[in-house]
Amino acid sequence: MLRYTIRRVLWGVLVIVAVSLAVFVLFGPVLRARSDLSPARIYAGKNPSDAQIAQVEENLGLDKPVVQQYGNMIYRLVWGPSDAEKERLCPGATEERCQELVGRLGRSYAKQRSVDSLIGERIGVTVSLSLVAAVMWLTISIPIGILSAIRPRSVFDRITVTGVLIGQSLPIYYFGLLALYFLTYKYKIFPQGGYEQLSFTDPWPWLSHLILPASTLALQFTALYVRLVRGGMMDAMGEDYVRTARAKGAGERRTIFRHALRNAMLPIVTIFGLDLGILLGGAILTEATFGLRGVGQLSVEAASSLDVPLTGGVVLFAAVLIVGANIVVDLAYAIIDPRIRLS
Amino acid sequence: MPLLEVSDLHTSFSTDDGVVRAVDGVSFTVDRGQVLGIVGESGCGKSVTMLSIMRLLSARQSQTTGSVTFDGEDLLAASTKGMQKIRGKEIAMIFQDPMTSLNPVYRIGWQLAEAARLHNPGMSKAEANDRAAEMLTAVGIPSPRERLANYPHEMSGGMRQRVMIAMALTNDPKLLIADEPTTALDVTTQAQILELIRKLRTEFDSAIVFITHDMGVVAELCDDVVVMYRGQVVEAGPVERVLAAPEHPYTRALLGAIPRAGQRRKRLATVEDQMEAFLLSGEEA
Repeated sequence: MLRYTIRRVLWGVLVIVAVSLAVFVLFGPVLRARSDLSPARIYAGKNPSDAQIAQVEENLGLDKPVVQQYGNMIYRLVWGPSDAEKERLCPGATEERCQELVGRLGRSYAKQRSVDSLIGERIGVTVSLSLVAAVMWLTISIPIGILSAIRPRSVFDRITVTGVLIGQSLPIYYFGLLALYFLTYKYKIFPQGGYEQLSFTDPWPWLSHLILPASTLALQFTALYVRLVRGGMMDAMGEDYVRTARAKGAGERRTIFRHALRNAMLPIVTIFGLDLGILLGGAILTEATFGLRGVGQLSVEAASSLDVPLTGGVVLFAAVLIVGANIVVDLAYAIIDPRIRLS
Repeated sequence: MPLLEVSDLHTSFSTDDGVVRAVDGVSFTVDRGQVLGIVGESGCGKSVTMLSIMRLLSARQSQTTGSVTFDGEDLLAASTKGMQKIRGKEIAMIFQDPMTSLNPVYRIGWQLAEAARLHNPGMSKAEANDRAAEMLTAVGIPSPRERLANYPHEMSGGMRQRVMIAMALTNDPKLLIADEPTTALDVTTQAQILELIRKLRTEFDSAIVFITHDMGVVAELCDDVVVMYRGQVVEAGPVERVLAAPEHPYTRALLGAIPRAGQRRKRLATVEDQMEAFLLSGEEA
């Protein structure tokens, strides 16, 4: 188990390095080769002189050889910003203030702040949104999927299958806007967009701001997971070991929950882990629809202002989450499925 | 009074292509301690008959009529709860494929203990575990205590079938239904499992319904035999009589399809060939 974990983590690191290289090449040399998209030209003001552009390039470190630029990026990622960089970008500032200005993921051109602190600011929204949505879609889809599977072709099952089709076909921005219009503007049941910090003494403001966006986000996942649970349960209920359980004298409930469900849930755990990993990297459409300033919105802002370090930083951050989720899923799988041997 | 009396049992399935009558008026009886063999080719309704008796077929996809009386109780009229008390306690069943019949995510010990505790609500976990280990010993699995911690995938097919047998006999059932328990196993293991069943037969004193398509097994193990063809019983009687002097042409065809040592350079007759020859000859059954 330990050896497997180590190997798995090393693989993850390798993937991250590959992603970082791709990010660097795409947002570095490739962009710079197109003079109209060169970051330095964009940030040097209107009609810059060549000297001004050169000055900006030097400030951004873009004048260095490509390999050195990449080396700097990796060095900063692993060991944090160098003293020289801190000295240049936040002279005389306190350590705390300096962390806001320079960080491991570099510094946003447009916002003049460290990518780390920008993501840190936004991650709370995205985590809250994803987790509330995940709780919603799991608590809804698992019971519906089970009920539908144990009564195939029943009225309930047919309604479910139709509902799944509708749920999967409704785009987030469409359903989200409808929900916003009716539940917020017309009937004022939920507060208008935005986000409230989670407070443990009174979690309601936090939750009430999240219910609408989280249900919107959860809608498509609910539909997908109902299908997964239903399919998995139908397969499991047809297995020989379920017949064995019945032949032993186990009741229907015991057969369903103890014998079939545990088997049916195995693949769903995998998919859930990966979905959550992807969501934590930013739920772009939902955040945009409900004006939530999360990581997804940050990546949109970054891309639309050609903010190279910020875009790259968010991409790298999302990659780490997805790779991390993969590792967690693989390890969890080994624990819940005895047939998987880790070696 | 026989232990099990099945009369005029019909089971049909509704499919998209219409109604399939898998069991079509089957009757037979099993006495206490008797071993009854049910033979017939694949698809003749042997397994469906047994699943109908145990009421293990989905009520939504199948209809069963007729009467099944077990120990004086009408099983087809029994409540769901009543059936649960009978399954695994009065009538136990072992299946064809031991590779898929055990739940892959639970330990052998858990699955064996479950069989014990389902029918003995007051039984503690420790007692159930002891019973599980005792049963593993009975079916000839060495170091049973350690084996309880194994998962099914850690065992061979023969071992798993032994576990299935142990599980079935946990509550000393009056009737054991063995649905082709050796078909999925290799020849050596088959012999071991048959030997085990023969040994346990005397130890546990259960009646056994042994479903098979192997006439050799019938000859060795069974007292009586029922021959099924296309959902119907075509011949029934004591094994010696049926094997020595089969009355029905299908039984003769079935026996004729057994390869014999010393029989050379002759194509083995299939049941279809022989039945065709019989039908063309216009002979009366």
